[in-house]
Amino acid sequence: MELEVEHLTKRFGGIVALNGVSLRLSGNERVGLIGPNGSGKSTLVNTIAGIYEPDGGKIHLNGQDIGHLKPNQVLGRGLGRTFQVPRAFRRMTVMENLMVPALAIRPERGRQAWESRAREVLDFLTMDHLRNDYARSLSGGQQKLVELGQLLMTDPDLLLLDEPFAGVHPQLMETIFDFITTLHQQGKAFIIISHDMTSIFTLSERLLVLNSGEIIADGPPEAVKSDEAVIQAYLGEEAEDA
Amino acid sequence: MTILRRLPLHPEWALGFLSLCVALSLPLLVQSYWLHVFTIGYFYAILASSWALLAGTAGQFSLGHMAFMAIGGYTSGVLGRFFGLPPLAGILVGTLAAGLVGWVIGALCLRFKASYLALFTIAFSEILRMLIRGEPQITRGDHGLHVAPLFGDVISRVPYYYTMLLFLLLCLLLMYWLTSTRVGLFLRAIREDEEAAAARGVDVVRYKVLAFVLTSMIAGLAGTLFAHYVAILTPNIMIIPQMGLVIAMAVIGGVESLVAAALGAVLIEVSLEALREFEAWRLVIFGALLVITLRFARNGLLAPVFQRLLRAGPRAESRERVVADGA
Amino acid sequence: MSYFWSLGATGVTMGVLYALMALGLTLIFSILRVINFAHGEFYMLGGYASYFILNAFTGLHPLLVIPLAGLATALLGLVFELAFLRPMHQGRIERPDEYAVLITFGLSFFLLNLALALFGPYPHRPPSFFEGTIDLGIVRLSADRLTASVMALILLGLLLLLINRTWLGKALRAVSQDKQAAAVVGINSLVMNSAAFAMGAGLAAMAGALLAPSFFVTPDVGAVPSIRSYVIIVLGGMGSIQGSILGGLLIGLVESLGVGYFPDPSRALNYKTAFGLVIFALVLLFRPRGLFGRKEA
Repeated sequence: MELEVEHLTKRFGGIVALNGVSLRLSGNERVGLIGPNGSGKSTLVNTIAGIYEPDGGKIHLNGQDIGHLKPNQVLGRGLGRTFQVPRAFRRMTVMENLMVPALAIRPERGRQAWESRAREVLDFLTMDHLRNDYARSLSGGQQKLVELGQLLMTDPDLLLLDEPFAGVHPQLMETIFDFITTLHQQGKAFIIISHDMTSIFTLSERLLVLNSGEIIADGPPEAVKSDEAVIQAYLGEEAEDA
Repeated sequence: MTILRRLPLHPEWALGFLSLCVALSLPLLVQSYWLHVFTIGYFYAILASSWALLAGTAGQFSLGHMAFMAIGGYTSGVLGRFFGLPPLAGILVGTLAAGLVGWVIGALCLRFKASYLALFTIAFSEILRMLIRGEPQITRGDHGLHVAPLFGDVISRVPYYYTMLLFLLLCLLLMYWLTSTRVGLFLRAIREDEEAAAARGVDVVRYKVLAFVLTSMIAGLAGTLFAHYVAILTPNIMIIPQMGLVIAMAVIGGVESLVAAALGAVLIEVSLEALREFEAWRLVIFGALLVITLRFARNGLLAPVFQRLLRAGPRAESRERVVADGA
Repeated sequence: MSYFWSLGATGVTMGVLYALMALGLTLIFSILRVINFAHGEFYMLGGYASYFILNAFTGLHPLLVIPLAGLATALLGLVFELAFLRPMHQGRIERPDEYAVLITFGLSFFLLNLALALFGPYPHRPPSFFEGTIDLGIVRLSADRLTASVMALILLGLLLLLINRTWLGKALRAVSQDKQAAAVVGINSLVMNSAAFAMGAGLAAMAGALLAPSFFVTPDVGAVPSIRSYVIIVLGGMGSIQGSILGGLLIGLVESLGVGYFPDPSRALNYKTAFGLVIFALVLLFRPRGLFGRKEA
């Protein structure tokens, strides 16, 4: 797996949300993406995932240009993402939720085969007993697990997780943690956005810090923690709040 | 009842089968006048169920459905008038024409959210109506376009009754089959959350357009059948209140169930005839029922009845919870 | 050339009335974020209200009935809003976007048929405001039409005053910009919703009452004005007051000139609203926010 982002720019009207962002990921790296509010983290994820069309720059996944692909095509190339507020299909069952991406990306495998695979995935997420429940009857944390299950069905090489731990019950947090570590061992790469500093520092081998649409730090967590620019970015925000 | 409970049947289909038996034997049971009523009822049922597919399943709340119906009917009628196109061929051509326009409209509407979609389709419908009224040299406008009857000189209504019923069943089967495939899954996902559906691999563009093309073709088909039955077309078939009636039928029946919407249409059409003496108040009743159903029984009035009468499958419990919430 | 100015004058005099009605629709959209598909029916009810009030109180001058007709319809609108739209803004309705479209469309269907049942299909005509025709040089208008235009102009002025100079107007503007921020300063957005919907209904009704002596009242008299209102608010920009006013005048002109210069006079009138509808479709496709609308992120 090789992700290359070069000088990525995204504007909304007069606001420059991403200002020439460049980064590189390979193999099964686990990268944490942090930054103050409004720094452009979600915009970066949304642009890479195909929701926004870049105004400048390139995005290459495994050597192929994915910058102008639609979200469903990006998933097809092996890049999956979750949403900050979980967006499972509320009035569809958990099983149906998992079947959607499976049948969308690889319909030829057939319903039967995908259904047994879905049950394996749900088992792994300890949710098999909920498979026929409507997603809307699940807790927020469980809906996040459903999203992860959906991703797993398409076996992506790179997963973009937007606040996977936000508002999650501690017990479920463990499940999500296990999910990430297990998949990492299987060779998958992660970009994780989180405000939860403890989890991020534990999970990430590498931290990307975004501030006002630009990457101001890129390195191992220890180094980033003591980086002047990073401290300024966060302190600066706090000073404004005061 | 207990026997029914053991059958692995989808609830609506069991009741549908019963209705089918009644429908097939109707000519033996009622007079010609009521056959006409039911034939028109089946016509509306084709429209209501196809609208339910577009709106209730795929989430595209278009207000232009009657326009596609009119395209079907008028295409066949006009080609019959100027080129002597026989009714059967007209039915085919009319259906395809409606589908073609549906493709264009569907493609144009891709970016539109609920309100804008409604506005655009209502505008499209009105522009079309104006064109039909405004070009009487082609369409005979308000005077009415005479259309060749499908069964020529045959006076009996029976063949028309069975024809409309046949096409209703074929359309329901086709639409139901579609919703049982992965396409149905994708359409529902699009309705639930279009952006999430795209993020989960669904080619939203393709399936939205597909929904439009298919449902507009079906509406067009209904239009041609109607035209070659009543043998006359006027622009009044596509006025906005007609769209309102179809929506009322689908919503009161149950917009998420094709069969419920179809049954709703037949029931309302029959009721409208049965309540003849109330004249204009009939539609007031159904108008009120539409608004009240929307507010307090989103899933419709008929659909939940099916689900409650014939509990089948493990999903029933959680599904009932959803139904009870008036989701 | 005088033909052009004559058409222009006709267009503008109708345009202010279109603007008045469209303003009601835009007000409703701007505060409630809902397109009122029953707007034409409020217009129709205004016409009937003026007819029946004048029928009951024959001594009243027709002009005095305009605000009364508006008030009666506004009350009706208020009841509907409380019963069917407020739950939406309280989070008690699933899939509110779909609901909003269907519920006002359903109301339209209901009101149209109610009018048909109550009043019958035959036209009703309230008494004229003033008799005769007025010669303005470039154009000759019936006194009724001119009165309607002038009254509409006055009402537009009063409305602008209300929106810009009164507390209610400020509160409405606040809610239309940011509901939560308005709540923080103590403005109850639910109350504003009701007020806006009632006002919108009232404006449509007054437009209907003003034009009733000129165009008569039938149950479906609101169908064309309602489509026209959609055209205007999309052209002007949904939620924009200046947009509705300018849009109303523009559509008035477009219709007048379109009909006036249409190659085939016998079909011109039928296509009157078509010109606006084509503009409408084009705006939706190429510049959805219209002239003054906000760009949705």
